[in-house]
Amino acid sequence: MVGSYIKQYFFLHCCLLLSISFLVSCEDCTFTSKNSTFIKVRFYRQKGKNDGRDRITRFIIDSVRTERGTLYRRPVSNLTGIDTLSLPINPTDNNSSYYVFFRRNNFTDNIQFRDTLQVSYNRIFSVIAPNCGYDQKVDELAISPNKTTIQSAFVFKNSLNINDTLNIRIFF
Amino acid sequence: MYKILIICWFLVLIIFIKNNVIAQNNNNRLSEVSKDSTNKNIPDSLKKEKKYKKPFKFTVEGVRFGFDIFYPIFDNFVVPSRPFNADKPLEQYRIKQRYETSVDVSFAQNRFFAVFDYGYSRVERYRKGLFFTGFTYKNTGSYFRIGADYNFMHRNFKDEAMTIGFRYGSARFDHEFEFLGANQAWGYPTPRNVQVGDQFVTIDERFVGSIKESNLTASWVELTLGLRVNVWKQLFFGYHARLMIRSNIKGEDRLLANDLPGFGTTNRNARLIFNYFVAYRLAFKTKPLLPSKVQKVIEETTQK
Repeated sequence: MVGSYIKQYFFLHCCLLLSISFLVSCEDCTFTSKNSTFIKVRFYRQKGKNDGRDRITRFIIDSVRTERGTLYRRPVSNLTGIDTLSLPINPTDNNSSYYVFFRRNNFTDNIQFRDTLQVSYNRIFSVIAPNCGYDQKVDELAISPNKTTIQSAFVFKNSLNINDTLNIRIFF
Repeated sequence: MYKILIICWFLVLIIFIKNNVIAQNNNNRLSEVSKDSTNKNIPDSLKKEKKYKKPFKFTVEGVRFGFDIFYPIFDNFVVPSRPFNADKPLEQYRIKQRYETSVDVSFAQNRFFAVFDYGYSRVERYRKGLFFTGFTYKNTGSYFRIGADYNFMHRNFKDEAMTIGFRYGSARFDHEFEFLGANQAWGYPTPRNVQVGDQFVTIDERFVGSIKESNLTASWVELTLGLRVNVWKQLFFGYHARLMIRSNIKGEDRLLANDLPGFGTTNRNARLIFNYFVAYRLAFKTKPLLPSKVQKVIEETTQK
């Protein structure tokens, strides 16, 4: 009697659990990552190096180039300069990115300076959800001193997050 | 979604316990009836030996060989695999192959089961069509689980079992990741369609990178609820509901594992899964625990 009872209830269990299994198998895409692949750079005057308060909010920069392209080019009509620059990391290099800055002291100056900045970092990949794609966590951000011609630059925050306003301070 | 899952888990648990109580009551009534009839018919000389409770004795009753049927059904019929087609690389593809076998040994009059599971898993996901975060992820590995089950209905069932148990699981696997994306600043534009004659051709100049890591390991513990039903001769059918909690994954360097063989996706540290299995038992002959005379009388009275 108990044997037939258990067989009867076994199929009820199976149906219930099977329906739950299918419910669980749905793949949602909830992309909640806060990781970023952009380095936020701000510019400062050399004399204010110690406290970092002497920020140049209208820094004159003509263009910023990478090994294969241009990530920023100043529009001809833009005479205000930039406050914060977002540098995307090199997508094909897991460890470092190299940038070249073309700048001048003021808009009317004919002399253009060229500065280089190389940063190194650690990049870890993960798949968020099959329908979302992948995510990258970038941390241990550092400036490679022998590959950088900028007089002084400091890492303010060494992990990249979408809410960051500053990762590297560059002093001129 | 996870809250629904937990609610369902408790629902199953309640049904499980409720069933257990009903079965126990039914069995008590049954034993009372048989007890009365037994007292009337058996000779007085035998009435003193009326302790029919199974005494604990370490005996091995049989070995059961089983295989999981949920994974093959799910991976082949419910959400069937779609192998990668190089002619249409931007579409979604998926391959899931999971197989699991198990061996359990029942001992101490169907009270306990020593359980060993071994499985193989191959998961491939292709999402190259995501322009900025396209990827291919491949994960191949094997796993085993070892543990024990306690049949809390052993007084009522001769062959069937309702069990609660624990497992320790361990997986070893390799994974491979190919990532694609567009990044104009670094000279990698998004895919675009170009008309060549009458046809449109997709030009994909996105960057491609790859990571391959081998011999990763992971372990987890499980709490299980299970049911084994004897459906025909020595053939059994059953399921396990598993609550799994994993520990850290060893061997990850640049890529975090997305799947663990035997565990599933790693989005959460705790998971709840179900396995349905078919098993065949090789029963061993054991000495009857009740005296033969008593056994005979009980069988006769039950037949009447």
